[in-house]
Amino acid sequence: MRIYHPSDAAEAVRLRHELEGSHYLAGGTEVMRLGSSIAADAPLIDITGLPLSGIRQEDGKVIIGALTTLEEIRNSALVPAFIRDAAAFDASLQLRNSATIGGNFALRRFDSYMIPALLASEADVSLMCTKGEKHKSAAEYFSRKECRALLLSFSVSAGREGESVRIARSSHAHAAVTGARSEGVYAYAVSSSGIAYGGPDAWKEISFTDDLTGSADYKRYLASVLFKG
Amino acid sequence: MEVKARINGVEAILHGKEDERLRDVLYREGYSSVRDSDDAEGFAGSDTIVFDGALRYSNLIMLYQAEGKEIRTPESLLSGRAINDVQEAMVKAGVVQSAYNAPEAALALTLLLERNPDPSKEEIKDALSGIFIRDAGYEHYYRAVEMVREKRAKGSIESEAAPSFREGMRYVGRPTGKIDGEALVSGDRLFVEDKVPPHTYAMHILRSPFAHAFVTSVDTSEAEKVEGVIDILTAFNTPDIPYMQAGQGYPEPSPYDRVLICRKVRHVGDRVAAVIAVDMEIAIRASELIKVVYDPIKPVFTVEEAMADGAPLVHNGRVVYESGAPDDLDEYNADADDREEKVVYQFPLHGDIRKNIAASAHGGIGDMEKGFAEADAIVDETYQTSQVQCTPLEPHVCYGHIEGGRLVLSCSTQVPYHVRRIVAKVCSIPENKVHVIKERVGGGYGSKQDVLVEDLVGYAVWRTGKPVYYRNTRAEEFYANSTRHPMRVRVKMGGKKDGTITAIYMDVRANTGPYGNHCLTVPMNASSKTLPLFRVDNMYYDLITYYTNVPPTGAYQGYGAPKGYFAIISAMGELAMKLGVDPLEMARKNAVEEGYMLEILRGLGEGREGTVVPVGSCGLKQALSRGAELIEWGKKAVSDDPEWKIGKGFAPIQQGSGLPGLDHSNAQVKLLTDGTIIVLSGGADLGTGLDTLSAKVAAEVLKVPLEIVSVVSGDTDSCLFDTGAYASSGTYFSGNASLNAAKDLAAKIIREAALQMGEKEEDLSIEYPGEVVSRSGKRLSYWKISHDATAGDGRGQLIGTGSFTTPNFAVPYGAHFAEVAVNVRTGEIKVLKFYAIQDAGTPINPELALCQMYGAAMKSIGHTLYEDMVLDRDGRCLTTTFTDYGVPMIEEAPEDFRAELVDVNDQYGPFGAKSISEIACNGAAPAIAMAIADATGVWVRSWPITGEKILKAMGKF
Repeated sequence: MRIYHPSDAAEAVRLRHELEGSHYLAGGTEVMRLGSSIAADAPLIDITGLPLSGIRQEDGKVIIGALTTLEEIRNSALVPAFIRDAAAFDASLQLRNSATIGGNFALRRFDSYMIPALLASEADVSLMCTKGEKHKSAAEYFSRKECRALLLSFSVSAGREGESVRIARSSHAHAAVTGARSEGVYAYAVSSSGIAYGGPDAWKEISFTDDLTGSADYKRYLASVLFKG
Repeated sequence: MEVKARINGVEAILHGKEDERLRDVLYREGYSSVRDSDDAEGFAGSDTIVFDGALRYSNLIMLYQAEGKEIRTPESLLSGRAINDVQEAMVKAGVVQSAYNAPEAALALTLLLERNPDPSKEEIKDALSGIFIRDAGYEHYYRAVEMVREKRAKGSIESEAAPSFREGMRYVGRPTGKIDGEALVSGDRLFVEDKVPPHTYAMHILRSPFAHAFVTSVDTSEAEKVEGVIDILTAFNTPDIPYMQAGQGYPEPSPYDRVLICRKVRHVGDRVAAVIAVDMEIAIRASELIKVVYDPIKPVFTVEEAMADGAPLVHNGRVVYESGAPDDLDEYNADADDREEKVVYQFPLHGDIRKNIAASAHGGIGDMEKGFAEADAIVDETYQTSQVQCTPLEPHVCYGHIEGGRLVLSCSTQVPYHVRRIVAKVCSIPENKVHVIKERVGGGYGSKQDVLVEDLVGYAVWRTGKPVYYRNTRAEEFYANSTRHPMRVRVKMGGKKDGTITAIYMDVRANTGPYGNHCLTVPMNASSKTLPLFRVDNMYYDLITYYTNVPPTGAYQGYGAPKGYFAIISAMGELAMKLGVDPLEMARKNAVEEGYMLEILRGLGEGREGTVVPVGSCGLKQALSRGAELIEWGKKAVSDDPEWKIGKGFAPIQQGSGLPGLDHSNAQVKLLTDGTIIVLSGGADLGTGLDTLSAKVAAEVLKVPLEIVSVVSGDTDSCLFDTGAYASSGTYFSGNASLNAAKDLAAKIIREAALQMGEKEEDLSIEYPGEVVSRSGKRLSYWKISHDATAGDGRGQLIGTGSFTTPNFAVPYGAHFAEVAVNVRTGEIKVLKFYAIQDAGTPINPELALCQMYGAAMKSIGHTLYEDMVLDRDGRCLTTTFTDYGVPMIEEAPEDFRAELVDVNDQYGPFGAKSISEIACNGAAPAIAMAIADATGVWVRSWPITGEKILKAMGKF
């Protein structure tokens, strides 16, 4: 495994484009874990030395650095409660101390802890791409299937209210369905099936599939009743 | 590369590859408490360290990332050899048992208490959220934190983690902590992996991708060319010696239906070849060059498929009987396939391999027709249990080497003497050439009753002469290990309106998988540990076990009983509901009492004729009453949220204490020259405290301080024979052997003292702290007695020897109660309350007993609600990680979780003790199933009971 240590975000992005099959290394909970989706010999661009962590409030917005850990989010009074709840869905303290919001978001896993909450919160993301820093909504980020840009930070309204829900057989098991709603925006992540966001019926866009977390029918039902009322 | 880090307050340099896992580097550099239970899944927490102030999994950190970092490992908790207050409290609380990751739990709690001296329950839960504990449950960790607070406030820990039993005893029945607790919680080098020297050879097993196939050829020529490869074992160059991996007493009630490497593979993951090489990387690389030609056969996976007409046969070799062969055996073998291994029965188990039947048994009492005719209502339902895994934190592991021309095996086993016998057999050497050392066992739960890796390692070492270390990966633990036999249990039960049960019929169909490990006895337990709980005149059972091509099955704590209980108590609950009778009243009305003759046992003798015995000491009714009181039975619990429905359930339970008539234990107790004591016990302590029990028994009998008693156990050279730690035999059998040996030594001490003192033996007695006292007031210390006995003119060292066999049963009883909430919108299930009330006779180690009850109940809750081995259509296991498989963590522990011991004294157990932990696996499934039915009206009759099944039964989708 070859590991690169960029000195800034721009260099990281350049390396990511230059190195075939490369990946960013943030918290390491995906890259290093058993059964990782990332090839054992993939070049790794270690971004942990970049100043991308921390939570601050600016102009009514909460800015969360992409390298902020889930545990830091869980414990931050600045972060809206339903986003903190989503971070706590990662049930292991050791993992929360490692996993970052940027990593969890960029992996686009269908059992993601953070994606539904960030989509429902209408978060904006700051990115470094080859042409420099950009800002877009989390939804826009998701409209592209792959993005080699480096996530820099997330921005959400400080007073944003909402609810995060996760249905799994046990605390550490993969979730069948994870969802969040915030001020009329709904987002769903369904295991092995997909991610959808928009109105309360957004889940209908998902093509439900059987897997270890349950049957397609079960997950479809869950998505349909995920939020009370 | 070299990395400079500050480790445990000291500047250190770590050496390794840049991208090497920090866990591996730390262990190699001597921080041996940092272990690995999950192959870097990031789950079990055995690799937990503090990394720049935060708890992290060191498996998920690369070496280079440690540069300049502050690292703490559990070694940091020690001051010299002294443990810290958290570790001390953990030992006192009883949570240090198999202890593979106990040091990591201590580290997590120490960090928590440094930052927050007064943490809430939620904060403790969070600190332990990433640490999987299978043995002792989580409940007494809260108790340990309370004890730390007490020590910090008052200077010492005065409170106890469990009540005491039996006045007048110094140690027996009192919470003293495990005698090896400090060593275990410190992270001492006590496990097999710690005994492996550098430059030991590695072994990698090439496994079958097919569930059922003949191996027609194996070409190892390319693999052998790889530099560093020492030998490659295949079906074509290893002995054709039939044997059985089940570690049961010889002659085993399981067929010898395998050889070291079979020419027919019978499950995905079955052995095809074993490569021995200088390191694992080379072994794996070489194995990838082995060319195997398979001739696939259609597999069968379920009981239904196996029993179907014309089903493919999992075994179709010649059948041989060592005794009791049927007259038509030649005819039976006429169509045998000689490509297959023989199936050797030591005695008839009523199998019929031409119908995929490995074993069967049938029997009963009374008149079933009459019993059902008398019933006002009958239920006839079928319950299905799933294949679940023991998941010990330390996987199956073995290190072997040759020393002085003998084969020495360091093992993590429950059965060192069976390992010796079986390894000697496959190596074709006598037992005196094999030395088995049971190291500390990082979790067994039954799976280490089977000789699953020692056979191959032993053979490889004996054949190559090289030291070899082998360790299952976590994935191999799932598909090449032993699991609970999946079972389909039909129960037909009839009852009267007054609650009298008039008849019970059990039809148990078990799935033994590819080999017949425990194929008779596990399903037999489904009946032999359940039916004797009922005072019912008409009972009958049919037990049939089928071969299939699922991953192997074997022993698992509770054996067949948890499955039998799920079925029979669920059926009782359903019958009570049908009759409009309170199920608790039905249980009370039909439960056995002391003195009731258990005629049903006549046919349930593990392959031999069973013994009809009366019910002995029995705390069943006390347990039912106490549980009912705690859970407020009869009072409907209602949630504030109408979507959450709450129900209550319970299960009366029993188990056994070893196998009377079959088990055999021996021990010696030696008086050393300074008057201290060593117990040599054949018993295999799995972390449950059997060594502590032996020490306490010796200290109590010999009236010496516990601190001057040491125990050596499970070493086949040093200690005498013991059948092993299974079937809940440790306390009753090994404990009684230690008791008898201690009594023998006490008598010899008196005899020697009489000679030395010039007194009559009858005028002497022994007194604490280790002296002989005469009626005339003379005193002689054990030191003086031993010193003179071993002097040049002495009569020899004083050694007591004891053995224990018995026809008598010491049956533990109990009742488990559950209160469960179900969200009828989402199907979420919460076990709100769980009360485990058990009669263990005199609990010799009460705090360890309670923790084993919590641990066993948690396992059972796991099997009931979360855990599930899932195979694809080709028999490949899809759940090869803890996450996919779904073990319960601290978050799953019931909010109100209590274990209590009913005070009952047994007439046969050592100091009145009976077994404790297996029985605690029996209650959760039926109690939770009943509670869910009470809450929702839905009976879920299969494991795991999931939200999906409940919602579907409720017609939600």
